[in-house]
Amino acid sequence: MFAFSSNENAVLERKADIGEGSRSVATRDIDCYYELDKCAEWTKKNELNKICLQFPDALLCDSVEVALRLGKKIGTVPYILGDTSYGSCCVDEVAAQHVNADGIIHFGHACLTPTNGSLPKLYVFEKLPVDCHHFVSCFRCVFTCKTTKILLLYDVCYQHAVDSIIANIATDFPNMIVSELAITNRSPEADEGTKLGRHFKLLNESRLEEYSIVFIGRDGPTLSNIALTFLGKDLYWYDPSGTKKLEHYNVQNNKFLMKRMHLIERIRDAKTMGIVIGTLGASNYLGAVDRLKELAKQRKKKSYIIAVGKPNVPKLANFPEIDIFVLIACPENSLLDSKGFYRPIVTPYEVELACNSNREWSQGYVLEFQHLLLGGRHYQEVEDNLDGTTEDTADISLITGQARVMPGWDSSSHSIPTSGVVALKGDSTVSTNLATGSEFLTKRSWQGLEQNLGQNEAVLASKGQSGVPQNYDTDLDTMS
Amino acid sequence: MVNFTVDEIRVMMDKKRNIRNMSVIAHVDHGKSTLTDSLVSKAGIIASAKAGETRFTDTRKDEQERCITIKSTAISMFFELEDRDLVFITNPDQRDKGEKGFLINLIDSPGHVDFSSEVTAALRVTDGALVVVDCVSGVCVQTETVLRQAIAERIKPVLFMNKMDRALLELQLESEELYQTFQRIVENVNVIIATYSDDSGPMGEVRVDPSKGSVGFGSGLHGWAFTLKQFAEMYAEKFKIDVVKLMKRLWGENFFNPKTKKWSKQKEDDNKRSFCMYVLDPIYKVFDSIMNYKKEEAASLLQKLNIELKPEDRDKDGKALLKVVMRTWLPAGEALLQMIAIHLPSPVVAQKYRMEMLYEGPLDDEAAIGVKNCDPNAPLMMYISKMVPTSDKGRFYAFGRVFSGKVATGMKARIMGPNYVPGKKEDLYEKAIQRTILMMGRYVEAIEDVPSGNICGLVGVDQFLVKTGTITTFKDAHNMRVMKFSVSPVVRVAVEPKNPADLPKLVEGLKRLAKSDPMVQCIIEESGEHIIAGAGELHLEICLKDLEEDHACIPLKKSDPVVSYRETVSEESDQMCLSKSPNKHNRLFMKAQPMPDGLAEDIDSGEVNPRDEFKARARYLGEKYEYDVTEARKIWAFGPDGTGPNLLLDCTKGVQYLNEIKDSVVAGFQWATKEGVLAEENMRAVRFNIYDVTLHTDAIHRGGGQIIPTTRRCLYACVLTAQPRLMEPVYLCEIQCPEVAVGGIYGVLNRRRGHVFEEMQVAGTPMFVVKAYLPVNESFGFTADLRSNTGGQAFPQCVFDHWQVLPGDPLDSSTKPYVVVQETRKRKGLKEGLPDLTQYLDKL
Repeated sequence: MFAFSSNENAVLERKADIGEGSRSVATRDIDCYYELDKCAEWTKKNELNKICLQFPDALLCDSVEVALRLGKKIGTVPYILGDTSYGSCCVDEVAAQHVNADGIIHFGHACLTPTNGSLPKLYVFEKLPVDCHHFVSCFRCVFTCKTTKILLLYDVCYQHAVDSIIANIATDFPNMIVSELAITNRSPEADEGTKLGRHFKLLNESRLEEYSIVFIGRDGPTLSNIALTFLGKDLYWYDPSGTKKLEHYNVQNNKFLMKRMHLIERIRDAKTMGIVIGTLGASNYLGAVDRLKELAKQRKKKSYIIAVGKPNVPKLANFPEIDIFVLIACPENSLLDSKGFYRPIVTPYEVELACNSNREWSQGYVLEFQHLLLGGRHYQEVEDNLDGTTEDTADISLITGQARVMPGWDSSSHSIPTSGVVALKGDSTVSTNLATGSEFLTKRSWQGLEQNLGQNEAVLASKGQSGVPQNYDTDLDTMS
Repeated sequence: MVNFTVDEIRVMMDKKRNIRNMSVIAHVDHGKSTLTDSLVSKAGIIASAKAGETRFTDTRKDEQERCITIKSTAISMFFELEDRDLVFITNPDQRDKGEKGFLINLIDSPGHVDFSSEVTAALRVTDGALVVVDCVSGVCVQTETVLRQAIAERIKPVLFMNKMDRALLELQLESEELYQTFQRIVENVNVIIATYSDDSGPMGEVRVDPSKGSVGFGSGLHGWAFTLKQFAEMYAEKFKIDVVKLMKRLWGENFFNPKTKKWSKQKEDDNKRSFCMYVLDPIYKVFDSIMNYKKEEAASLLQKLNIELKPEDRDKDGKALLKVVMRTWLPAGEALLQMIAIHLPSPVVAQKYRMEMLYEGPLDDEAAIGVKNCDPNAPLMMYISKMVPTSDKGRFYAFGRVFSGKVATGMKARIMGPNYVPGKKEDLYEKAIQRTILMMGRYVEAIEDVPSGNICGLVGVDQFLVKTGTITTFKDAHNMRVMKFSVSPVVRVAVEPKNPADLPKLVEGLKRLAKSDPMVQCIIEESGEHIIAGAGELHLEICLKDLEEDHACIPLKKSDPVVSYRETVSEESDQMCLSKSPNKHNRLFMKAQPMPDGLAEDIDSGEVNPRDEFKARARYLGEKYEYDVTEARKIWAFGPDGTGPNLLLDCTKGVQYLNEIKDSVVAGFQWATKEGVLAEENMRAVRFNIYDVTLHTDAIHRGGGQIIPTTRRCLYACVLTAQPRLMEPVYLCEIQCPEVAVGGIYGVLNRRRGHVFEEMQVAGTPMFVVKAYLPVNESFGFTADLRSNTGGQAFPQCVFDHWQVLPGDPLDSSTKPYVVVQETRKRKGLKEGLPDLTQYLDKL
C-alpha cells in the first residue's frame, strides 16, 4: 500500500532532539505563561477564524493543553504546528497555509525576521525571570559616567522585564537608548534603525560606534550575531540565568573574520555554487535567490537552487559537483558551522564580498540578506563596465596557491559557453570557461550503466524488491 | 661601463651565437656579488639615459644592510673579444662570423640555502654557470647543492677561485701549498660534476680544467683575476710556444728547470712547478714588494710587467697601491669575460641538448624543434621563471627566457600555468602581451621584441601566472617542465592584522608575496589562520618583512614559527573497520596499514604517480615493495589532492555496484587524507584497503551523501586502530667550523634532538664539516644558539631532508606527540582532547 509514498508511521516515530531547554510548565501557569488571554483578544480583534499555534520542539509538550484552553476561549480549536521545516525561531507561514489558516501565533524564542506573507501573526515569548534590582545595581557599577551613550538590547524572553528596568535607570542616563522588538511587520527597507529585529533610534548626529552596547540575555546565536553586527564602542553582557554579572563581552571578531576569509576565498575559487533555501517565510527570499544567481552568473559560476529542508551532511554531500553552498536563512540560522560538511556553507553577504567588486569590506557583518537586496540598507550595485571592455582579471587563490580568473563583468552576453571550444571575446581576450557541470561528469570514473557485453552471464529476470526504499519488503537490515 | 642604446642592444640580440646566458652561483659569503660588481663595472650595459648611476646588483636596501643577496638580479653586459682570442672559439655555433662582440646576460643569485629557490629560477633561464669558490674555505655545502642542480639542468660550469688576496695576505700560504689547494678544489668540483654527468653525455666535456682556461683565479674584492690563458700569452713569445700548448704546461705535474731550461714531468731538486714559477711567483713578488714597502723593487717590477699607473695612483702605497697594480695588471673583467665568452655555451649550442630536459611535449613537434634550434622564426616558446615586483604596487614583471620564436609587444600569446594540460582549458589564458622589456638590474627599458636565446621581462601576463609558466603561440604546445626546488616550505608562521579592518589588505598582501618569491606559500587555512610557509627562519623573516613593509603595508601580529606535521600509522589496523552510512543501508569494511619505507618518497618524487600505466606501476610496486600485483593494479586513488603519498586500494571481490560508488569513496578518501583524524594534518604513507562493501540496491540510497561521509569515518577508524603516529619534518644540517668548535656543536645538537651522522675534515684546511639530522621544530634559533656556543665560528646550512616519525603514541597523554596534537588542535580551534573511535566505528 505504500508503493508510492513513505510510510507515515516513520514520521510519527521520529524522535526530536530538544536538548536541555525542555521543561514543562505547571498546568495552572499555562494561561499566564502563554498569555492566552492576549492571544484570544488578538484573535477576536482581527476576526480570525482559523489560527495556527506554532511551537518549538521544546514547548511541544504543552501544545495540546494550550490549544485546548485557547480553543475554549475563542470557540474554535486552533491547529498546532510542530517540526518547523527550517528554524523554529521563524514564523512558518507556509505550514499555516497548508490549512488555509488566517492567523498564526508563534510561541517561544523568535528571530523576528520580517516575513513574506501578509498573514497576521502574534509573538508570544517565553518569560524568564530577571532580577531587576541586581541588574540595575550592576549597571550603575559599570557605567559611572551618566552621559555615556548606551544602547540597551535584550533577548526576547526578557521583554516582560524591560519596562521595570528602564523605569529604574532611564532618568539617570539621559543618553541611553532602549531597543524595541520589531514584532509588527514593518517593511525593513524603509526603517533605518532596525537590525536583527530590533528597532532603535540613535540620538541626533551620533553614530553607533560611539555607543556602549548592553545586552541582556543568554549566550547563543542572538548574542554572537549582535557582537558581529552591532559594532559599538564596546559590548556588555548580562546573563540573568547564568553568571548574573554585567561583563565586558570579549568580542573575538578577528578570529571569526579570519575564518570567514577562508570561506570567501573558497567562494572565489568555486566554479559551482549551490543556493540552499533555508527559509520559505522570510521576506524577499526569492529576491535573494535571484541576486545570488545574478552574482554567480556574472562571475561565470554555475549555480543550482537546492531545497532540502534543514541542511545536514548527507543531504548536501549528495551534490559532490557543487563547490560551495550558500544558505539563505534567517540571521540566527545563517552562520552554520560547516565543519564536518563535505563542502563549506556560506552566507549571502560573503558571496557579495567575494563576487561584487563594488562592495568594500567592512567589519560589520550583514546577516539579514534583505539588507543586501535592491532597496536595502547595504545594497551595492554590481560593477557595470561602461567602456565596454570586459577584461578578465586573475589573482591567486590562497587556498590552492594557483592562479584563478575572475571573469570581468560582461553585461553584453551572460551566456556561459557550453562547448569546449575556446570562444573569442572582444579584441584580444579569449574566454576559456566551460560548463562546469559537464566537466565534472567527464571526470567521474563511473559514467552510467555499462553494458559489459559478453562479460556478464545472461540470467533470467527475477522478481525484485517492492515498496519504497525506506522500507522494502526484503530490506538489507532484515537479512542480518 | 658600456653605453648602449636599446637599438644597439636589440641588434646584438639577433646574433644568437654571440649570446651567453649565465648565472653566478656559490656558497654564501664566497663573494659572488662582489665579483659580479667587478664584471659590471667593466662591461655592464647602461642604456644611454641612465649612464652615470651605479650599483646594479644590489637592488634591495636590506641586501646591502645584511651583506647577503636575497633576490637574484639579472644584468646585461657587452664585451668584445680581440682577434687573437677569437681563435679559441672553435665551434661555429659559438660565434657569428665577423662579430667580435658578445652579449652576456648574467644573473647574480643568493648563496644562502634558504633562498636557493632563486638559484633554481636563475639556472633555468641560463646555459652556463660561473661557480665561485672561496679558495680559503674550499668547496662548501651550498657549492655542491647548486652545482648539482646546475648539472641536472644541463648548465655548463666554469670555476672561479675567489679571495686569493686572503690566501696570500692572511694565510701567507707558500706557493706550492696554494697550488695544492687550488688543485684540490678543482678535483672536488670535478668529482661533483662527474657524479651527476659524464663527459660522454650530450653536453660534451663538462669538467673544469685550468689548463684549458675554464678555471679562473683572483680576487673579486680587489678586482683582479686571471686564467692560465693570460699568463700563457705573456710567456708565449718568450718561449716561442703556442699559447694553447703553453697553458697545458702551466698546470699540473709540469716542472721547469731554469738552469737547464728543460721541462720535466717530475719534481726534481733544481726544478720548480711551472704554475708556481710562472704564475704564482710574479704575483707573490708584487705582493711582497708592495706590502713590505720595497719601493724600488716594486717600481722595477711594474716596469717589467708593463704596468703604467695613472698619475693619481702613483702616490698610493700598501693595500691601496696593491689593488691598483693588480687591477691594472690582471683586470678581472677581461679575464672572466674571456673565460665566459670562450667556455660557456651560446643558446644555439645549449638548447640543442637542453631541449629534451626542458620540454614536456613530444620531442619532434614544432615547439620542440624550435627550441632545439633556437629558431627565432619558429613559434614562440618562453619560460617564465619568476616574478619581479614593479614600482606599480601589486603588479609584476614576468621574467624569463625566450627559447624559441620571438616575443613582441602587443602580440597575442597563450599563457599556460603549471597545471595546464594540452587540450584542456585549465590554467590556460590567451592574452596580449602589453609590453616587452629589457631588465638590467633595477632598470627596465621597453623593447619592441626579443628573439630566441634572450632573457627578458613581460608586462601584463603577471595576473595569470602565480610564479612560473610557459608563454607560447603554438596551439598544441605542451608546458615547459616546471622547476624542481631543492628546498621545501616546511616552516610556517601565522599572521594576523593588528586591526581587523586591515584584513582585506593582508589578504591582498599575501597574494603579492606569493608571487614575489619563487617558493613561499601563502595559504588561508580552514581554521582562519593566514599562513606563510617558507624554507627556513631567514627566508620567513625576509618574507614577513616584505609583507609588512611592501605588500600589505599594515602592522601585523606574527605567531612563532611552527612546523606542519603529518599523520601516519605504524601497524596494520587491529580489526576490520566497519562504518555504516547515515541511512544504515551501506557498509564499508576497510583497514589501514603503513607503506613500506621509501614508497611515500617515491610518490613525492613522482617515481610512482597516478598517471602511470597501471600495469607497469603494479609491476614496479610488486618488485620494489613486494606488493601483491593483482591488488596493486587496483589502486583507486592517491591522496590528498589526487597526488599525495597515501593510497586507496580496492581489495574486494565481486561487489555489486562497486564502480558506481568509486567516485564517492575517492572523494571521501581525498577529504580524510587532507584532514587527518588526529589534528587535521595531512596523512602520509598510509595505505587503505577496502575489503568489503555492502550497498543498497537503489542508486539514490548509495549516493554521495551516504558514501562520502561514511568513507571518511571509516578511514578515520582505520587510522585509529592502526597505531597512529605523527611525523615531523627533519632538516639535513651541515655545519662548517674549526676543530675547536666541534664539541660545542654536539652539545647544541643533542639538546635539540639532532644527531650527527658524519664528521670530517675538509682536506687541506683546518675546517671540519659536521652533518646532522635536526628536526625542523627544534631548529628555531639554532643558528644563533650554535654561534653563541662556538664563539661565532660555526655556520649551519639547513635544508629539508625527510619526514620522520615522532616517537610515542599520540593517543597516550604522557607522550610528546600527544602534546603536539593538542597544541595543533588548539591552534586550529578544534575540540581539544582525543578523537573518539566510537564516533567512527560501527558495530555489525
